Amino acid sequence: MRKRTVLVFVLILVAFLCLQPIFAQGGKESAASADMPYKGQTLTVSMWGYNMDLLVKNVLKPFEDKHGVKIVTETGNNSDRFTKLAARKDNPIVDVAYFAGTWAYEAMKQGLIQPYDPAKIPNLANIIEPAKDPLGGRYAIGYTIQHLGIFYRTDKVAQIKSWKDLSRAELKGFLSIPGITTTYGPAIVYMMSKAWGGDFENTEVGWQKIAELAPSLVTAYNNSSELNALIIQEEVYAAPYTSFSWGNIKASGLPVAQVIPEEGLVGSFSVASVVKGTKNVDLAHLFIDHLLSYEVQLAEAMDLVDSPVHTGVTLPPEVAENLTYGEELISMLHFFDEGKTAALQPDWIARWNKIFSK
Amino acid sequence: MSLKPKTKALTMLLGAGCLFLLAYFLLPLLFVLYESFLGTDGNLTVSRYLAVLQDNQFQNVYLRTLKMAVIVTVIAVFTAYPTAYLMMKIKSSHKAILMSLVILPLMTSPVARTYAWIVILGRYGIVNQTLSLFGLTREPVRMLYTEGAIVVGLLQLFLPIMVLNLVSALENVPSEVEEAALSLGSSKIGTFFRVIVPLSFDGLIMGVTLVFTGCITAYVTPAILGGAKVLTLATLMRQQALVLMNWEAATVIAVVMILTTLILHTVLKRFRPRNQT
Repeated sequence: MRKRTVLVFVLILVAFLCLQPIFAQGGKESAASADMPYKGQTLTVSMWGYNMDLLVKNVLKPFEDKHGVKIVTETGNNSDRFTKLAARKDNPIVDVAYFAGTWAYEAMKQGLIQPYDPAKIPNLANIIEPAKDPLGGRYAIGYTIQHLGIFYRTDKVAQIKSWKDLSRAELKGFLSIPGITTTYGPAIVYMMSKAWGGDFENTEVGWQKIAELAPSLVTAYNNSSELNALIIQEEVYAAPYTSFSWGNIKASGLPVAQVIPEEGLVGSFSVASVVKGTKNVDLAHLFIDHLLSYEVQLAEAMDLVDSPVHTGVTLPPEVAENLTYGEELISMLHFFDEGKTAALQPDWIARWNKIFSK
Repeated sequence: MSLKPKTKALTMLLGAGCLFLLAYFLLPLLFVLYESFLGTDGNLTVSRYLAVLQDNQFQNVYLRTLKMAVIVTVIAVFTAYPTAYLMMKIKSSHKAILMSLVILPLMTSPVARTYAWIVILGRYGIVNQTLSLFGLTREPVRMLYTEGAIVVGLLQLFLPIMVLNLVSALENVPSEVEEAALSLGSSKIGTFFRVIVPLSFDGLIMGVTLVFTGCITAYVTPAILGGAKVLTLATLMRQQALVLMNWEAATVIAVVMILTTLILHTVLKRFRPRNQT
């Protein structure tokens, strides 16, 4: 009797483990009609989990309502989601994937995403030029733009006008920069090079300046929330920051200002791509088109979630100052070659580690 | 097989647990080990190990991680022994209070606990404010993002584990043994080192192994309190695996971590006093 109980227990355990992947797939139902050809279908989107409530309100729910489809999201940071995508390469369950540029480039290289069909995305015509095909080969579309700005404490340090100012003596012990493994890590190398007489091809001088800065940095931060904590603790008086964290920096209540240095700033896109091998190619395109639509772009901007790439979106000044928006700012942005940057990354990380572990 | 029904049931129950461990722990571990020796051409090779082990950066990080683990473990042993010994000597109601104080840090999330250290060790944190209040320092001392900060963070994390291990080991030492040693003319200190410590050595080995292993593999604490300036094996492994997608190097680092703790455990067991069963 006992033996049987144990056997049943083991069998249930094994059966559960075997069935798990089937449960995870979920069922599909279909009840398409002429006005809603995709009705009942499910679209899986791999995206970041920040501001999920606003994303549901502005992006996901309107799409679901309009087309009668169900959207399933897979959330996480770039590397987690990339790893999952790579692991399921031959049988993808994700249809549309959001990535930062370098990760999208890696996904393109490893054959995880496929080129989009411009005919199926009419809203392409309405977005700024560099966002249309940032990787080349039509593998990704920039649906929102960000930049790496510089902020400083107006009560503690003199105005910062150039990237060179980061090397000023008064900032020693009070400066932080993004770590090389973050989205904008390589941007620091590029901008320091540009500021100190090098260029984007010749970064030796930039590295030299970073090596000089390293010992007196508070730290090289790994994410915006870390930088935010350091600002609130008054550890950091100035730092290059990602534009989407400006709201949080201002919320610290400290006297802070953002600047556009004379050498310009670094811009980048968050991109959306159609996953290679997806069974929902048309629906995936439809979703990306929706993402670029005036309504979604405006709603996302007004809620300060994402800066618009749609050229028709006009924003009130109090909203605009929190976003990567406006001709003056956009014209000062440099966009780097994601492919070249990705190729340089292993060497740069090793070099960076060497500098910082001294 | 002529096992008693009770023994049979026990074997089966254990079998389920073992099966689970085999499928979800041992096999993946062996897979990692196998992967670490697999070359790009599919043949077995040690080239991955050579590439990682010969790297200067890795050597620095490895030595630093070992150094910090040793420091934390040694401090933990020397502070946990008196605590555990004291807890054996006091009233059981007091012991319960002390015990919950010891366990308390284990109940807070490592992230929250580590962020608290940022506030405490920061430029305007409690430590710096106290120092300047007593006129000990003129300028705030930089404590965050140093090896010292990681040591403090790890110590808070693992000291309870050492104390718990030593308490349970000391509980197994009969109080008569100590009385006998004292009545035979041994001094109190002599009794502690020559009777109590050898008899609780198993707990010590367990504690040292757990704390040392914990220090080597800890991720959150070094990541937050050390940042970019103080890389450890765990933060380096994350960088290799999740940023560079260099799973090969990450696998080798994982194997090195496991081997290091296994070697430590084996070596420590050799030091075990012979007269102990």
